[in-house]
Amino acid sequence: MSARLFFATAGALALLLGQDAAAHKPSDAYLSLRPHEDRVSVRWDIALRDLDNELGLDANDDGMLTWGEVRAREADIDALALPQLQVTADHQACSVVTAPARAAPGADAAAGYALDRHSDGTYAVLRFELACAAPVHSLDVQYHLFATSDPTHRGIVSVQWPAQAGATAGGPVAAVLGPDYPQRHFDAGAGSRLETLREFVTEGIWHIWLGFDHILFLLSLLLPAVLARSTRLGREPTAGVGSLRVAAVDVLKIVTAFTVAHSITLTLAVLDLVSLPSRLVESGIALTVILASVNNLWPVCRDRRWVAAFVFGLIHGFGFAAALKDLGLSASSLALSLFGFNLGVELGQLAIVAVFLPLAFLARDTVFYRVGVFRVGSLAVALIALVWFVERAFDVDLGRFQI
Amino acid sequence: MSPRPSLHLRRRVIAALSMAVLAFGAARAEPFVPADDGAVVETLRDRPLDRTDIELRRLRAALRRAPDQLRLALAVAQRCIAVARRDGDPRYIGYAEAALAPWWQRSDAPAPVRLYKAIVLQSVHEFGAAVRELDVLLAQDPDDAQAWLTRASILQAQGRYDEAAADCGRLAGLGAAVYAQACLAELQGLRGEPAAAYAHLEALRAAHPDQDAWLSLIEAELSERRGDAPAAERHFRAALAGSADAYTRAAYADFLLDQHRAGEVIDLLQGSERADPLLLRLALAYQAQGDARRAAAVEALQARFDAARLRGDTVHRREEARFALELLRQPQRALELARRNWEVQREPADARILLAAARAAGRDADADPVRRFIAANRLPDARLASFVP
Repeated sequence: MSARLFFATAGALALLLGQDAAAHKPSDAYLSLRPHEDRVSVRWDIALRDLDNELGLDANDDGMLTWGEVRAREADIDALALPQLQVTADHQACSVVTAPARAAPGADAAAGYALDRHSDGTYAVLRFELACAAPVHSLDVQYHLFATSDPTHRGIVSVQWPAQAGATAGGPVAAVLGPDYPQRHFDAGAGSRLETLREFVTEGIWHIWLGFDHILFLLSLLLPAVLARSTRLGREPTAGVGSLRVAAVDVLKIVTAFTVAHSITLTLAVLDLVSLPSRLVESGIALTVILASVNNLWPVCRDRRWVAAFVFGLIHGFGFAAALKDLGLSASSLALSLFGFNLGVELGQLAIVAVFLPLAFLARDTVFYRVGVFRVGSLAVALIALVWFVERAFDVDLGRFQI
Repeated sequence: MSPRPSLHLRRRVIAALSMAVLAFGAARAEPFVPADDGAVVETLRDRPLDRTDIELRRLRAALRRAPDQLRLALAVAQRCIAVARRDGDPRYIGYAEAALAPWWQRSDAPAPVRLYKAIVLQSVHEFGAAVRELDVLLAQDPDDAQAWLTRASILQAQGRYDEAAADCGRLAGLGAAVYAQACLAELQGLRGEPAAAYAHLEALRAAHPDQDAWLSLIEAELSERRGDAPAAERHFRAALAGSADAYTRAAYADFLLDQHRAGEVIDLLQGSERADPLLLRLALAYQAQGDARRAAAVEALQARFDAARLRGDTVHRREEARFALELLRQPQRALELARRNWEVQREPADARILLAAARAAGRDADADPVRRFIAANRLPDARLASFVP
């Protein structure tokens, strides 16, 4: 550090030169937003020092701020701060529904107006709810607190999306706002594009692995692939296929048909071009599982199972769409999310096939496979799917098979 | 009704973790509600109101009613900058900027507005922008002595000694001879001629007894670099008698710490904990004395550096590097901070922290840019001698 030089101006005032004025912390406020459904819970910590500068809270001017002096001016603090924060959810303004509650001495701190200590002093804690027009998927925050009295003031904003809305670790959930950049957009689940893609691919994989109805449907169609086609007239299969290639071609046709079909309806449904009631979709999916497994026991269609995979796959696509929408989609990353989720579903599906095909091929000539897996397995799947169907179609809980 | 299991467990765990991380660190404690109205919840001033405060209040109230009055705005900005300097409170830099807001972005901003804007920018380490502002001002009015002086001090802080000296030279013809001479003498002291510089300053101070305080401060720092502790002690005391502002006290505290007189630092700085640089010196003194209050001071400093990082500030790197090196004993972290700080400012203290951090980290070569700087300028500094071949 060099010594400062100061210079007497005409006004005889010495100015500092060459010195850091950054001795204290500059003015910050901490704004935390928690969207949930169509509400946003807000916590806003504002330094008492800043409020005093603006409002003169220190009534007796002794340099000591008492709790009574702060409480006496709560209405003024609200009137100063609240208009300086505008929150818009999905392009529609949200409004304050509960003013910062007034805490009586000794009242439960969680109920309202309170204080908190930060590194540079005591802050008033304003807590209130915002009501928005619809469930919140994105937020636009405009922040102008102290913009005219202290341009170096910063609002440090964090948005904590609820878990089910697709919050991502690493997304832009925090921002620093000030007079030069008073506005910021926050998307539920809007990380980097790569992050978003990775996330939805993962979700797609998990969805097909954990969505047992899809797996059982697929397996039901695949089980006969390793068995010879001697059962066209309704007799049971007598032998395994001769080569893995024959089985693989059959599997490929089925998987491709299923993929194309559910991709079509998934896209149509996510884009809101077609929509079906979820009860119809869910019970429809259960029905496809029943039909696919019963077909193994009393074959109606054996050579053209890929057609069944296509037709029934259309219904499964609607189911995938519902799951994807549950994750929370933002308009800005819709295409990416859709692509990623679909890709994930296909990858998950391929993994299942990759495990199934070699094992089934090796076991194809065993009694275990032909009776234990193919016949008993199909029967079990049909029964499970029947329970799902009844539960879903008639909205009852049979209490089992809730995996 | 669906057999789908909850897919959201992972998601919930991730969300909970990120929430915890993002809970601002600052909100570690739960909010509280004081039990009674008489409880003191904040101390607004470290010292009683003085005339400057009262005058500033009056002027700010007047400016609120008439925000487009230039003279009023300049008076407010001037006093805000003075208070920021005295107390080391950057909020007042913000208030100065606010007072000048109507003219801040204007291409035809009056010269004094540009000057104060440059000072505001410089205090947040926007050195380049500050110099550009002064260049515009000086192109319009080459006779603005204050602008030349301000520009010289910024260039000096950046280690651009030749350009700084040229600016100081301009002052001589503008009726500011004493500033021109002091400015040139200080640069002389930084560029290989400490003895001649000291003689110049002694003569200058004898001729201008009314300028004793700030000339004493320059001489005190020069004496430190020359390794003349008794002279430094004498000059610091004279400087403090004239102006006990945050900068002068911090400089004297550093001198006392170097002299292993930590006890006196505690006496000097107790009650000034609100200012980060002073709290840093106080924590170092506690550490040297084995004082139990060190822990609380370190924790408070850590919280303040965290808060500054959250807001994106980089003005504290020199202080934070010293905090990391001497209090946390994390030389790697200190080295990184000191290196980035050196890219922005190049005063002897910046050189010292980078040299010390590099040595402590066992990476002496990382401070080679400093060694080249010292060699190029023949910067004489007894405190740096052990780091330089």
